[in-house]
Amino acid sequence: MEAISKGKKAPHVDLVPILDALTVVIFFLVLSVSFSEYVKLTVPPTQITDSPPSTNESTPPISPKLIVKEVGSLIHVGILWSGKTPGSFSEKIVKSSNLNQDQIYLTVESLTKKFKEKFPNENELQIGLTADLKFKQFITVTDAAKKSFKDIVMMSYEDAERETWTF
Amino acid sequence: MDFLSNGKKKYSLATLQLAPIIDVFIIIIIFFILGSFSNGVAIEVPSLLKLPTSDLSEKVDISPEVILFKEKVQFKFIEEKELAFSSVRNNEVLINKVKTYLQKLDARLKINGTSVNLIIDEQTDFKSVYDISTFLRQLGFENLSFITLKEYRKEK
Repeated sequence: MEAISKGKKAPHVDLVPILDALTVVIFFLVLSVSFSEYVKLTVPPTQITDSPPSTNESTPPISPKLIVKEVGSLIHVGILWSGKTPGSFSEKIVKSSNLNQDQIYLTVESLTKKFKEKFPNENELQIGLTADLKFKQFITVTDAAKKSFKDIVMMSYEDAERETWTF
Repeated sequence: MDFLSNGKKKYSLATLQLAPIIDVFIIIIIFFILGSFSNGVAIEVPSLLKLPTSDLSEKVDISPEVILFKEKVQFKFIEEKELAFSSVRNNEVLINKVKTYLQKLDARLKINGTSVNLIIDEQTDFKSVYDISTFLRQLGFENLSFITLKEYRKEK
């Protein structure tokens, strides 16, 4: 108070440049952070499905299965079904060092679409990969299949290896 | 302050303190920016683990987390250290801890079935993915959620 009465100014911190600098630092931090959005793929219990059964009791179930197999330098993708008229659709992808996940995605997408044209009421699909295929391939395959099927069930790699179809 | 020096009472003009207002606004802006990018669920992914990408749109829920990376598994919800994946099936201590955890779990979290968030490296083989899934099912987890990074796929 004495300082004020004598006309001297009390020492103070100039807040404006500090706030300016802090705002710039905050913008720098916010822009340099890479934000990742996480999503999930839920595999429900095998005994529960959301969709009603597509066939009545007198006709055998179609039970479609999507199998992805690694055979030498090729990846075989096939969709098999049983029921009254069992059959399969399949395609081959050449496995290379620059194998793009989009190739697998598009193959599965076209096969599932083809199947849905034949059996539009089928909503459940079992997906199985052979043991050595990678988790990212399982996610890509499921991602593409989810567009046409409501329920996805994971099949064991042993069952997938047992499944055969005419390539 | 003048009224103290000359004894006369003077009224100073009411001023608005800008500094705290700016501080608060900056915090609100940061809050909104972060809120627009995430759905409020924070998932801690080990730095070397690479998640697969997918164009699914199902948002992540708060659930117990299990990490599978390089043949090691970590049950984060019971604060277990990394365990060799090949030995977890026979680890009675772990199995009992998980079962006790599930018994104590809030009933609200069990309405749609007990869920678990699986954080798995994209290079993990399908055999390990399937084996951990069946193991978790046997322990009592009904819904398995594979955590992936959102990717906006271009329509071709």
